[in-house]
Amino acid sequence: MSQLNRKGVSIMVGYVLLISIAVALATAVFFYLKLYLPDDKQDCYEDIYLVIDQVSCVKDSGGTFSTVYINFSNKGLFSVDGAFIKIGDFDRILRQTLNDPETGLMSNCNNNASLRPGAMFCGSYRYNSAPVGKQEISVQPLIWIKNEPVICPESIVSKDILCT
Amino acid sequence: MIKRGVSPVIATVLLIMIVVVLAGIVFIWARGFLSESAVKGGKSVETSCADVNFEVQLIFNAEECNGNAAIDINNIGNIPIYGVQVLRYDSSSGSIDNVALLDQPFDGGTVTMGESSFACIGISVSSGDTFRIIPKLLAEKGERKIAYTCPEENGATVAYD
Repeated sequence: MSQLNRKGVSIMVGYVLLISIAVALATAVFFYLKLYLPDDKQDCYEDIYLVIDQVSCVKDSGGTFSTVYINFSNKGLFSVDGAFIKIGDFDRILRQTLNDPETGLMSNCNNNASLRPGAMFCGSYRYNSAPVGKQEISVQPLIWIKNEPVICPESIVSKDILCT
Repeated sequence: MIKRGVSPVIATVLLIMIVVVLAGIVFIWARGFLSESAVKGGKSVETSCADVNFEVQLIFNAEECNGNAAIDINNIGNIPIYGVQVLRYDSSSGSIDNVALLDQPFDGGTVTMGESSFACIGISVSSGDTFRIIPKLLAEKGERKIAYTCPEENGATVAYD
């Protein structure tokens, strides 16, 4: 009988060990690199299109604030879940947001929180200014995708108004 | 002569373990020399910088800043803008100055998605001046929150003409 001790781990155990090490290393590298991979970015749909039908701005008698009346319609192919309705001086991009965009678009003209294609929204808002010069009102739509609000930078509509 | 020894499989495993342990030691040692990455929402903050979408305008004499220059910003994207770094390019001397601003210079703090704000920049602006406005995002670095300045390519240029 040979004195050589041929005991050791079996070939199967050897393979299992090697594969386990490879998998552990691959997992570590994957989680390390995952940090640098961009997420699945939620983008707004392309065919979202709002049209401002009517807008007016009426100053109060005291000249301290104004009331803005706005009607807009969804002329696109998808429902719009919210919108940033903003107003400011015509020659500046600084805007005051008139509404709470995340509360939806239910109004006297629209019974749903979302504005479906073809539906119209109408609302009136207090504007904490009684401006003299030309103003610009803009509406930027917002939709919810996977429980996250996503705003649509390509679908902003705006209109010039004078507060009277 | 006793010819006992470890089996080839054990030897291979041992070699791999030694290499892995050595690599780990080198990695931990070298990590001290590398900057820790800032993270936003579980991702490297650089990926969020690429998604920042904003409009910017230079106002020569802003009422809100007592007639001094201001920067208007309109965040039309989904990433909140914590602040900005402002670089001024002087066309006459060719120099680039970093305009000193607070970490959060905007009126109302962070400019969240869809919102707009302004920041007084507190310097005199002359004709031909060009400004590069680079967004800063609030990120996490380890346990700390930091204002991370995005790469310059994610900024926008405004000029006073």
